[in-house]
Amino acid sequence: MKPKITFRNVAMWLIMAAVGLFLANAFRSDPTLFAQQVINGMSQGAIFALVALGYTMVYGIIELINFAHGDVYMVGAFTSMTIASLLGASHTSDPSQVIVTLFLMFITAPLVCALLNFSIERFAYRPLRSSPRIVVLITAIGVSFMLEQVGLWWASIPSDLLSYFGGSGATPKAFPALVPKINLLAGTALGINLTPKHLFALGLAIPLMIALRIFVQRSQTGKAMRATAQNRDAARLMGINIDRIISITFIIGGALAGVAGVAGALYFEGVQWNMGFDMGLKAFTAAVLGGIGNITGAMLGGFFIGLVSALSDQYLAGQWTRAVVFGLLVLVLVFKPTGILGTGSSQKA
Amino acid sequence: MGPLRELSITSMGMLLRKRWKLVILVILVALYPFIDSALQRMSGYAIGGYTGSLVTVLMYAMLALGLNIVVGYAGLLDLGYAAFFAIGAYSMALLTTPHPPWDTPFPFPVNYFWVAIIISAGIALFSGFILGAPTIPLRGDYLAIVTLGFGEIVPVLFRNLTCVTIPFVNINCLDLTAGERGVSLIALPNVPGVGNFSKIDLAPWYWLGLLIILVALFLNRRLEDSRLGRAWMAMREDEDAAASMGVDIVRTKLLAFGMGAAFSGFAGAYFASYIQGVFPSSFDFTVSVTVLCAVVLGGSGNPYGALLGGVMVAGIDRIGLGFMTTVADRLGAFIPFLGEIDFSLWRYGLYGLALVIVMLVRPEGLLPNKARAREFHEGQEEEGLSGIAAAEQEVERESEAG
Repeated sequence: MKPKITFRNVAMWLIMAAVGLFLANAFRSDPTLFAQQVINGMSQGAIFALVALGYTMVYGIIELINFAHGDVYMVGAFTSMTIASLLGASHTSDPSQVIVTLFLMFITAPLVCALLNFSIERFAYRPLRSSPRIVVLITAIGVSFMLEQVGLWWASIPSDLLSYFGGSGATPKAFPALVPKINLLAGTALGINLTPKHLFALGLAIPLMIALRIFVQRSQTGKAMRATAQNRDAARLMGINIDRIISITFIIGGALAGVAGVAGALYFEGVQWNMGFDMGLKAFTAAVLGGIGNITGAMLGGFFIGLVSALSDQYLAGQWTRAVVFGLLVLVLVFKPTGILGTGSSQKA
Repeated sequence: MGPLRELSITSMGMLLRKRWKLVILVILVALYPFIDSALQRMSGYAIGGYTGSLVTVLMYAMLALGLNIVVGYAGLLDLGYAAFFAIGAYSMALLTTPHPPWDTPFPFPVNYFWVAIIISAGIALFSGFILGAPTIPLRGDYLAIVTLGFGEIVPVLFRNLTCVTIPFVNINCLDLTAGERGVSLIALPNVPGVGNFSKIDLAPWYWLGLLIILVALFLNRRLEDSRLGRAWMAMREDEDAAASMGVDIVRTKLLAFGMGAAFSGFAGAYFASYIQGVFPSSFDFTVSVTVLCAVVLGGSGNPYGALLGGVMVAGIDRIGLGFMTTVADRLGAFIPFLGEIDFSLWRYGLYGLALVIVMLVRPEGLLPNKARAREFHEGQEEEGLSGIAAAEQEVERESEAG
């Protein structure tokens, strides 16, 4: 098909060219700073991508923007901080204790989040399976608010019970610096700062995404998931247990959000009751950017949004980043609602 | 004149006899500021003093009536309604503050509150058209998310437009919105012969709010029955069918966004004058969701439902939670842990719970619009996309019977 010269296409290419020129100039003036921001962006992006996967999988299967998903991520972060409190781990603990704590975090948080996401679907969304979409969307907003309330209570648990919480539930809580802030590239001439928290985000996210991709493409369950996403009724007629597949989707999405919660708490060095709202919007933007329903797209979109946030923080100003990310969301939805890799149509939504 | 006069007397009599509960309610609402001060005096200032909170409640009711047009009539899920509220409030502030970012204030006549509130609503209407235009091809969830994006961008703009430079018109680093400090000293409403409203006597604000709500309610009812209103409802039920029947979708959608935005801008201008200041933090996502909750809980598509929802949601938030906290505080003398509960921190949980329960039990809301209620239950009769589940249930029922 020949590309059409429409106002939309021209506007899109102009915007992309302007951004490209801007970035090229930024790279030319200080390559080290630029590379540092790329590393920061990729690490953040890995976390966004993990959360975005939950959005995209759920949307692919039941066409619901699971508004509560960002808050499931928050619960993951809170769970990991609770474990750190219970085990008394801090930046002065010896390495073996830190490793045990981290290991327990990465086991518990995904389990808690998977269970939570499963229950949300089972008790809030499933009874509304045949209701109009706006009803389910509003229910999701309601669930999100309830989880934020849980976050407020959780954060205000007195510090003599959980040492890292306490005080007003509304204030951000600092996460203990469990992973040392050493520069792994200190000896090299690159001048870039790469710390273990960067590696945690990237090193967890990328293998998980590859595993998920293999699972969805190769396994029997993955095949059933894809079939359900394509046509729920036809899949049912082929003997696929739709309820089970939807539950599995929510469980996987929740577990990924749990991993992201731990990685996010370590990376951003803090937790807050409403951290899920911002993360949810950014991750959803990532999912839309990659073409909602498309797993590879969500991963690429996540990294892209991470890069955009990091570069905007550096080269524009931190306070404009929100506007940049949401502006990007609006532009994508208006100009190319199918996303970069998507094939569906905006009419479907 | 005779028969007409007689008729009006009989209809007044009818109204009194048949709708006496409503009449009493209206009188109580209209005279509330007096009742409030009487309550305060009798109880030694232990209860009462709610007039100020009620002004905020009325403002939420205005917003709910405006969003009812967008969500209830036209069926466009708007998650960024606070954007227009912010635009109205900032317009009012910049139009009337004696220290605007430019050199001289606008040369309005003495009573410029009334002029400025209309202009602010006009600016909001216009921004409704502008923000609505790119969303015309979008539907459902995508529309919701784009409006959510706008709702997030607008406060960021107001927060950060502190150094605006426009080349060629000699505007250099103009501090338009003063960032977090906001804009203050906004015009007060003035009644000729009576004087300015003040922050000491809140009753006039309350009555002005009631008046605006009456007008908004009237406009809502008239719009519902108008040609445009029918076009909105047709579009809500089936956009493609409406378009093929000759409804101009672009015009209809833009008018829904614009009118909703104008209501919101009006409420924003009123609020800015009441608070005597605008700050970017007052227009975040919580406002949009609170108003959406109000419309959905009250019954979208029915202006009385939206009104009830607005009063309920904001009333519980502004008065109910504080009241519960006071009660718990008193009970704290007997049951220790109750004394420490601050119910105003429970807002999110209560909103969330209310939304989920209403959606599960009565998705059309408390006072639904009949046609809208049918739409909400449509899917359940058909059971899903193609009725396979219904067929399965049929088979199950048969096998159980057999």
